[in-house]
Amino acid sequence: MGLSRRTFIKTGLAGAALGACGALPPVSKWLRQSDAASDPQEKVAYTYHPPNCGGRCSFKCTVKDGKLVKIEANEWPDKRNSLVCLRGLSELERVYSPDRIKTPLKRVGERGEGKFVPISWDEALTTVAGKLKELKDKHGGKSIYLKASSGVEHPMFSLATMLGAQFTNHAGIDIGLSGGLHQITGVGLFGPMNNEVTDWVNSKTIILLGNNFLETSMTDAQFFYDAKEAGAKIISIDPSYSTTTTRCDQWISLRPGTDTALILALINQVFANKWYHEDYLRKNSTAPFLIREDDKKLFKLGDKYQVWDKNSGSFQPYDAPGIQPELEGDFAADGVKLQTVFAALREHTKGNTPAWAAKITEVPEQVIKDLAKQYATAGPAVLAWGWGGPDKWYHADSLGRAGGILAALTGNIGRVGGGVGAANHHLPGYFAPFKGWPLPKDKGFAPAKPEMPATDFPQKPNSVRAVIIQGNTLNQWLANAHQTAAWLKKLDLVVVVDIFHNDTVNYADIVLPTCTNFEMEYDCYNLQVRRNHIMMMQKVIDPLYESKTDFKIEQELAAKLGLAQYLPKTPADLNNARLKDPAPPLKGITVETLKANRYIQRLNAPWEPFRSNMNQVYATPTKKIQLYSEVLLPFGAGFPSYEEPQEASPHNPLFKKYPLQFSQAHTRYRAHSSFSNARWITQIIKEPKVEMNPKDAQKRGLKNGDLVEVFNDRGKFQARYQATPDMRPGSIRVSEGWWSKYFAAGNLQNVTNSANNPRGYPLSHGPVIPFNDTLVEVKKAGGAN
Amino acid sequence: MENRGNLKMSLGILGLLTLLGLIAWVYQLSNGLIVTGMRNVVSWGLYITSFMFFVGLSAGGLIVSSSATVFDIPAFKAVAKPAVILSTVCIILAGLFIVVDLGSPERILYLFIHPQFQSPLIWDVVVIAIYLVVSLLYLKHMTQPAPDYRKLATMSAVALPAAVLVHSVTAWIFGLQIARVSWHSALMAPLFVASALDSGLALLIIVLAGLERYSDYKVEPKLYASLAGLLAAFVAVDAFFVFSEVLTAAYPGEESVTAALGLLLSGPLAPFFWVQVVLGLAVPFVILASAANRQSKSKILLAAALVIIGVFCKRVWLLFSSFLLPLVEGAPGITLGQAPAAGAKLDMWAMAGSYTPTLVEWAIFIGIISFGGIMFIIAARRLLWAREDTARGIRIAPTAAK
Amino acid sequence: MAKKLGMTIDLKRCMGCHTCSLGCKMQNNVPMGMLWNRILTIGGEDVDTARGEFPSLEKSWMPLSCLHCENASCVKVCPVGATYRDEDGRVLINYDRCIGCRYCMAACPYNVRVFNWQKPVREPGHSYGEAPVRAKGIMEKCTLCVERTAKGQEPRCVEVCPAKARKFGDLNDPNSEVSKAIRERGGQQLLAEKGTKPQVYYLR
Repeated sequence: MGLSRRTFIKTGLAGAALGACGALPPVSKWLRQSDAASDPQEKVAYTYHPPNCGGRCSFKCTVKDGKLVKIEANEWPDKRNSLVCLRGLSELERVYSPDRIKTPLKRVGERGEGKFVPISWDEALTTVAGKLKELKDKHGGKSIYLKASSGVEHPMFSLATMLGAQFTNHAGIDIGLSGGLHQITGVGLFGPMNNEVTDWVNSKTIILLGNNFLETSMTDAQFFYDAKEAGAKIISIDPSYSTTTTRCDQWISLRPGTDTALILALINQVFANKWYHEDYLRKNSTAPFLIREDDKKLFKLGDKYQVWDKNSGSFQPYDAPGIQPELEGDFAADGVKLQTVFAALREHTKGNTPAWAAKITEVPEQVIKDLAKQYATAGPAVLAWGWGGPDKWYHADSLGRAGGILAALTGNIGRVGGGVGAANHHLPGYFAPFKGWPLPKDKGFAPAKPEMPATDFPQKPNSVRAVIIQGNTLNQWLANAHQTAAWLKKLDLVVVVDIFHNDTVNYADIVLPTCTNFEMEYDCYNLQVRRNHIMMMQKVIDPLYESKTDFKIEQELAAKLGLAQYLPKTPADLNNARLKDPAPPLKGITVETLKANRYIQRLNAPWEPFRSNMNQVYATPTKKIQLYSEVLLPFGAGFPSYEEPQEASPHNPLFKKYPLQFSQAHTRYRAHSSFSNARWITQIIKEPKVEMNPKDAQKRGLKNGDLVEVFNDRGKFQARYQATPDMRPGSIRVSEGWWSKYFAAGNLQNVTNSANNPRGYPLSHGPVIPFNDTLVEVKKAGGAN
Repeated sequence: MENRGNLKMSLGILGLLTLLGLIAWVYQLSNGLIVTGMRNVVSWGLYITSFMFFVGLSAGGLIVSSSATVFDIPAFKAVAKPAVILSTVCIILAGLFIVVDLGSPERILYLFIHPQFQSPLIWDVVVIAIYLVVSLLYLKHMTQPAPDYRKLATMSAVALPAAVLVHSVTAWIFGLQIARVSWHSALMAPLFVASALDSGLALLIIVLAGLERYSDYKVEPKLYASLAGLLAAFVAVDAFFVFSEVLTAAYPGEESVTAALGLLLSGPLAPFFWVQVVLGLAVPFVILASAANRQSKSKILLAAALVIIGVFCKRVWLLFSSFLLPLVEGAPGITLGQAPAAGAKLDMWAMAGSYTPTLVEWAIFIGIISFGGIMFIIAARRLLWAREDTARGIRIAPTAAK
Repeated sequence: MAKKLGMTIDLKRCMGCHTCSLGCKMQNNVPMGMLWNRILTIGGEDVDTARGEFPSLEKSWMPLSCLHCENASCVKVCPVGATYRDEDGRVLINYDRCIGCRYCMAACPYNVRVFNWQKPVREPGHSYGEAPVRAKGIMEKCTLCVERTAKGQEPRCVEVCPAKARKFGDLNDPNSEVSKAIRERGGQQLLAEKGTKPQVYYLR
């Protein structure tokens, strides 16, 4: 193609450019049409981009001579979504990365050492199946734990179910705030915003709380700017000067880990200035519920929570029709004093004045007051947080709750232009649940009950003896890497199913090479719903080397275990089953219609922005916004309070030894550890950098580019120091996801905090890994301590 | 004869060096210019420096020889022939430096098939071609058994402006570029001509002394003194232009110009700048300004050598002062144009330019100069001393035999 | 009237994501070690770092590729007419004509030209995108995606920009999006004082 076109150009130009410039025929005359589809050797295939970020961009891929030569945005029915980002584009190289695992491997050295020999698929699968069967027979299915990374399109859940393995355990990531918010609004996993980002144009105030939106949700950037141009005031609350901060109207830098104090002060101001929406609270929240003075539980009669009805002057069930619940007043029942949740909350936050918060957060008092006024009085307001900042702290649940309460008090939940929660890669949207694959009922197939959050496996005694890892989940997913490695070394069996030879692979006994999501043995693959659309993967190219899809691997492994007959034969079978008797948004959508529509269709859903809770019905036990949590009462936390960070606090004695707070931020350059090895991206950012304010560096005698060691009692790693005035003094940062080979030594997870907050266990999504609640010190590598 | 043995050995060594240069060039051709120290930031290097330098050396020689006829300076007529040979050789070398600098030298004929006359480079191609033809014709006429003086005079009249022009055009290659602050100067052509004059004359003096030493060619001692006097004047003019240029650049304190100037005065180019100013201008001028010194051949030769070194340094700082700083600033800078080895960390950016000639470049550089040496020796042998007696037309200085 | 194709880049929207840079790389088969379109951080010494002292900081991004000057110094200096300005105002390179003298590179005030110092190295090991393969020893740079724009499509960088910071159109058409944006936002040309009249305007 290239050659013939060049010849064409040549003849077209011959003589034309002689002695003059610009005297050429218009390009359209001499330029051969090079539309990919017009070339018989080229074909077009549609798929979507899965690895980790969750954005799920639909792609139009061009394949020439069996090779991927072009990745473009597919045309979405909602054209605003027809986007790709740098990570999507980088797949053109990453698919063909030299880091690909080419054959199944068997470990010959110690776990972690990385010594392997190639083996056949048959040997690999026979070995794995034999071990799994043995473990199941001896120790039960619960001795097997399957962990699939979020970048894996076909987790082997059916096989795990048939094995009776553990795999539904809480994973401790991206759920710190949502665990808290769930207490308030009943929000689902990861706690997405109520309103989708396209609704931001209707907002007057958008507070981004530790949310580097323009990097982590690149493909939603246009909606950020549209909102800004429509007049929304966008405020970034971030210790450091992030990419997103540069594009905001205001930046509030606070001491890391003190966000809860700031939000409590905003709540305090809402009460102090009576900016709360009284009627909204009365109707839609538990504000009028009554707290008993004795045991602090909510007052019930029978099994019904009670409120004081103004109309009848009596206690009434909170959901009784026609009542007018009181928000305030002195009530008592059976000699026990009762106080409304509303009044108790006001009392609880009385001390959380802007002056108080200013001391803790190091944000000026007036800034806090102004922020409160802006948020509460300027009109519909968004409180949008991310997952890479305040989410990854020991006490994150309190912040999630405080945020939910603030939004509720100001009527910003279930409101056009409002919303609270995680604003990430267009997560909220019209819901379209798929059916599961029907395993036979009579075989007793069921996953093991999760023994504990998976984050506890390396820390507490448990039954797990074998781990099957799909994707590089351990190295980056779990904090305190030495602890993780020690656990892995103790196990009877570690199987890693992965595309690339990354850190976790080195711990495997058997490595099974899977392929990227562009490769498959089938004509189509998985389904996903995102941004109000459903999409399916089409085969783009054949699996490279000896790699196989996760689907195929599951099937072949099941065959070795005599279980293959219960699994779908092809992904199309699975997809058909998933779309059978569909929920209304999926009506009329089948594998065939998807194929006929470039593998993407809009859900049967309204075109206006998705907004949850507009009917003011919540997924909580009371179906209302629950300002008060009985679940957390045993921890003395009916309402959220500010607590100093568990580790990264100047009040911690450890602070003397390790005075720097350590964050691991998400960047646009990777999605967790995916794209660490994407050469098109590493041409821009080639290695991890220890980002530190030059003032902190100066104290340690560091020059820009010096190789430094970051260390604490857990471990250490080495990378180059980058002079980053953006960093708040006292905090340092290394962007997360880098494989160890890109560090001069170690890995950033060697130093991170893996403590689980006991308060996290009863929460919907378990305790969060407090990655950022970490203290370290930095010194020049090789230098004296 | 002893000289003959020396000659053979010299030719042998030069031939070997030329061959090495040729091998290096073949290596460069097969691997691309990646084997040089040039990259996207500093995209011209030793070759273009040498091109400028040799155009200057060539022009200087021809200016001296042709002005002898044009302005009827009999003393200079004596050296006209070696001067023209020198000029011719130098201009061929200059052309060769362009050839080795090309990324696609197999397309060099496009310069003649598809010339684009807006380009100063085409002006240079034209002027150099004319210049080469004039030099060759001039040489031919000069070496005729019975040269036609009128023709010679006419040719000189063409050769002199051609020589001035060839170097001016070379200067305009740089001076007309608004992109590069330290090139973009109306003084660029005078600066180049001044350099051509002093370096060309200096080389001529050295070559004359060499001829004298290694052949039967004889030079009147008085001639050295008068050439030295002229050299002093040329050096002074050169210094004047450099000073004027630097002052004009420095005075307004404009940011980008000041940054470029900083490279010269105290930055990475400072060694070249100050070597030129001190060793290439000040010291030779002090030596040559003294009439007593002008009587000493060794002092004249020292001064001439310093001038040549100085002018080479000047070419270096003139060229690179425009390449080291990015024209649009911002991290990560400019891509180098070099793909990293597979699996290696990708380091393809430069925030500022840097350049060190590679061995390949040095080999080609030395090879081309050696080739020039061969050409000169052969031409000199055939045109100077072999037919010395027959070449009466040019009055060879009366043999001041010892 | 002849077209004068141009572009606007809204620096208030640009967030330095490099998507346009990689989109360009893919579209134009740009080899490793060079980029036709790169994103400069206007700030500190490294990519994505600010200048100033915390918290008084300044940081923005500026994509930079060939600006397709109306008075293009590269076109003037090319000795063989390999670099030319086409009828629609694109500054293009005839890859079969270029002799690799790199005069255009010296003449460009914006450091946007890249040279094939070696045989192009592509990762993956095959060609991609739509632009023709270039050989060792010749110059290349942004073509305003001539393969696309000649068919009426937008340049790839415009199409892929997630922030919708880029607009493409005819500067000679006063009603085009680009003309309007330049008028309304006071579009600025880079190093306008050089008089090269770039057809890419930055909106600040």
